[in-house]
Amino acid sequence: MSRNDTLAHALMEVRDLQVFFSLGGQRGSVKAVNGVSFDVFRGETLGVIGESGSGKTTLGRALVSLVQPTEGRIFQDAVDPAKLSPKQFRNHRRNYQIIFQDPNAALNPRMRIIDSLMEPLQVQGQKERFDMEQIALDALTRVGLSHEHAHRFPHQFSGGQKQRIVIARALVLRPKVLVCDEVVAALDVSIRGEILNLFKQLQREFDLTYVFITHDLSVVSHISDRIAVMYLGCLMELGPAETVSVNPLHPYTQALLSANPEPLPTHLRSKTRIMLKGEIPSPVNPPSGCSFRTRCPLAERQCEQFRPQWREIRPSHWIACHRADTNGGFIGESVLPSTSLQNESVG
Amino acid sequence: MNPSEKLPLLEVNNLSIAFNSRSGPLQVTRDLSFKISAGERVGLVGESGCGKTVTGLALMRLLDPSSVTITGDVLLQGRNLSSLSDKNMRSVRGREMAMIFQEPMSALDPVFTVGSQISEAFSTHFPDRALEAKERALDLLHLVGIPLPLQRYNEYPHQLSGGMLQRVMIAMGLICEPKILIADEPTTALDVTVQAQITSLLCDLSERTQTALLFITHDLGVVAETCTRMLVMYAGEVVEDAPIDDVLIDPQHPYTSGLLQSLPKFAKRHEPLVSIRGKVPALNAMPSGCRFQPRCDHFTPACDTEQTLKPIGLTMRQVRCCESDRLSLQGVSLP
Amino acid sequence: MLISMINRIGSAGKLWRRMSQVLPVLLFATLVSFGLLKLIPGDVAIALAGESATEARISEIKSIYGLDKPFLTQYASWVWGAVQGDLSKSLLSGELVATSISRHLPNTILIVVLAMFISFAIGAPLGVWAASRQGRFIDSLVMSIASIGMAIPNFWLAMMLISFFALDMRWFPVTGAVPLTKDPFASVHHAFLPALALAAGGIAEISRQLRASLIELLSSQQVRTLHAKGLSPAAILWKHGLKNVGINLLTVLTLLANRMLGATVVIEAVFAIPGMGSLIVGAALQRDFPVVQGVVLVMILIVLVINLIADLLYGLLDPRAK
Repeated sequence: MSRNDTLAHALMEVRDLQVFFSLGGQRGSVKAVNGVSFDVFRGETLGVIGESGSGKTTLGRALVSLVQPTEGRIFQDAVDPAKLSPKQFRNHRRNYQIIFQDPNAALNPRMRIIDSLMEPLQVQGQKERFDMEQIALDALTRVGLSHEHAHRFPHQFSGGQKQRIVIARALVLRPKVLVCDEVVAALDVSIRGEILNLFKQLQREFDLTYVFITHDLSVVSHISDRIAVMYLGCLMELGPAETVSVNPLHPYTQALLSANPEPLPTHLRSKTRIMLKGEIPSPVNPPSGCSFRTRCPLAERQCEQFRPQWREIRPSHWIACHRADTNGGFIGESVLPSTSLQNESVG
Repeated sequence: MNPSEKLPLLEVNNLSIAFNSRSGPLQVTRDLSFKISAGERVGLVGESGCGKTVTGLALMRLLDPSSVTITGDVLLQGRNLSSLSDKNMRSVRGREMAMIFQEPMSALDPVFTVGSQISEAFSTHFPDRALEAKERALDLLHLVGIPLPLQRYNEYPHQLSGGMLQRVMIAMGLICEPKILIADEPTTALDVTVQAQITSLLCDLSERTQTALLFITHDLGVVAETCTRMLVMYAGEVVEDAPIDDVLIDPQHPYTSGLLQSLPKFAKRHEPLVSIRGKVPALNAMPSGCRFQPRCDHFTPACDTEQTLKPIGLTMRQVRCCESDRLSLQGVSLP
Repeated sequence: MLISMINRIGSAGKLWRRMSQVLPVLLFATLVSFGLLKLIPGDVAIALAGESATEARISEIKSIYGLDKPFLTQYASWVWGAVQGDLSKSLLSGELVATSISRHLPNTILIVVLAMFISFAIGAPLGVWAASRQGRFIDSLVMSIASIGMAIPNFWLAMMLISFFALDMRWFPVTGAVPLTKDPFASVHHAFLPALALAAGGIAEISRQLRASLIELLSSQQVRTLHAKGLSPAAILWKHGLKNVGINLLTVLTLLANRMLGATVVIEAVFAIPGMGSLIVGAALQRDFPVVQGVVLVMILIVLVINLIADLLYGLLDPRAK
């Protein structure tokens, strides 16, 4: 469903973004986002996947101006929000909204649903109560709830319903971009499907662009048009979802895919797994050169000395790896080494 | 290897757990019955609220007796744990039966070194061999794949990562060579690449030491990779009990089938995902008859009666569904 | 070897930083107290000059003592003197301030130390007892006693104690203090009732805080793991429980010590004990600046030292604080 954009600029453009959090004094800083560049195209769903320390959550917040870039720029519809006056900024930012993981923390337990839904409109300066109510009730029905739910309190709803309410609240401002940070992680497996379906449906109805942040590979492959893979603040790979989730080119993505547990019977499960050694390094002290080199089975001298260039290895498929080649293999070695998994005897 | 030929290591009979609330008892699990053989790895699968964690805690008698009422028996190698005194139960816990938990950072004591906590697990049960404790702890640290065990021994929990801490928990659980290890969502809080390491470790250790494993989780993928048998729980009851491959290919209970269908892995890209309609009933509003009925697409009038766990023919499988013979449900299907 | 040396330098650096924070606090506090004293009406020069002094005599006294100079000059000259160790003399008695303080301070310290000891010795066991019997009769009893302890005004308690134990039963002396060095037994004998009056609030606070921390701990995940390992409830409580709540306990004790140092003013008044409290009250009433400033300086130093020690102890108790 990704459309090739014919506009001069992408809806969001991120250029050399760095977000560092200082720890105070001599202790250095957490390099949460350590130099990323990519575009977000109108109407697409860009999945961002990564483990802890990858910086994906910070990236999401930076995209909606909740944290300020330490270096680099983000352009929202060709506008640099840092250059706007406070009043212009307030008007501008309604187009870039974010939804978080925990719906319990996102809703004020003392406010009725209808008031929570109207709040963003009040903040934006809308005054007419009747108009606001109409917009709010409309949003509520669009997410699958009914008008009678409007006057209840959050604790009267289930987790899935609360998440729908949070989505409705984000939609009252008719944003262009919705950043979704682990939005189904806190929900039961059997109702994630409904919520993800709702996202898809709303995308069509409201002409939304999503940046979908998650750690769950199967969710991201299902819902995204393109997938970006992050590790320790850097982008490792960015490409079409079909390719990245099935035949990725980057060793980290391959390892991630391989590590994903498969709910398949023995004869259908893969027999080998790429095991990464060691642990994720601290973002306060990322490794020199390529941040993945300490765990990469293919790391060599150049990986320690030079940070790999973020290059377009195939059309619309970007990668940061010294050794990856366009055929899906690696210079010097065709596949990543893997260990065989023991076959459990089925009793 | 037919598990039924061996005497079961752990036998749970009609375990019912109820919370004592002000408005009366809230039934969390009802008539749970299952068996685990020596060295067997069984997954206890269900979503939040199904009672799987409470079951794990009840097996170890870690629930506060003043706030819960438990009926039914838990037999470990024929010995009835439910009738043991507190003192005798303490000698079982950590020694014959061990448990590891979900968030290792909160589960360990922050003011003691990790090494001393592992040693403590040993010296508590073998006080006369307390001098060996450190030696054994170092052996275990090595066994669970922690590099530089001597250095790590003297470190505090906050200095180790989540994956390392979970290995420490496993070491702590295995140091007394228990017959069975209960793992309550041990990898849920960990990253995927670390999760893979830990599940592989658990499998490996279980094989080598012939320690049975009860793996409690909501993640079907993890269960498929580590366990040989799966117990599916819904609303406080076991609804299906079968070997892994059988249940994945040919589930006999509509809930199991629904759960498998809802996994995004098996959905076609850009097609809507399947989910089970409705939601889990509240503890004080359980339907009479089959508990899954309000959400089931295959219900008949027969489902209004209370369902029991019945074996399927001559197989090792059991299912709690009166219609299972008639139904042919879908299992995993690759797109 | 090298690593342990570096660690020690590291904590010494922390020490230096802590101590350098002390100075601004001292300056600010003494400035404020000086300012307050100047603000209240009344002129010490008049008191010094006597009943029937002339205007000329009063101005003469003012210039002798530098009381006619601008506010900040007076303050600055006091600071200059203090930095050199010279706390000047009492305007009224002529006695060196340092000497007055060295006479009065030990009495206050004795009472506060004794009160802290009593608070801990009674409060801690009560707190542990209540936590181990949570929800039952003992727990409610202890908590009720604690509430009463916190609510009682300590001067009223002091008067009740005097009335009953000193006047009626004659077990303790009514007023006064005896230096520790002169006669330890008599010293403590005199200080006991005052300390007890001070300690009432302390017992209450310690027992409540300890109970709350223990209860929270006992239902935590880490204690669940300890149960799962097969530890006995006693081992869990005494070995793990106390070490974990030690940090909270230290916080309570530090705050308690700070408060008691302030509360001695009232107690000393009731028991007529020549301590720092009575010293500063007397001096303030007479606008005897050097004495007031001297007492403020010393008391703040004591509080800061107590907090510094507490900080260092945190590092020992909690490996995460290092």
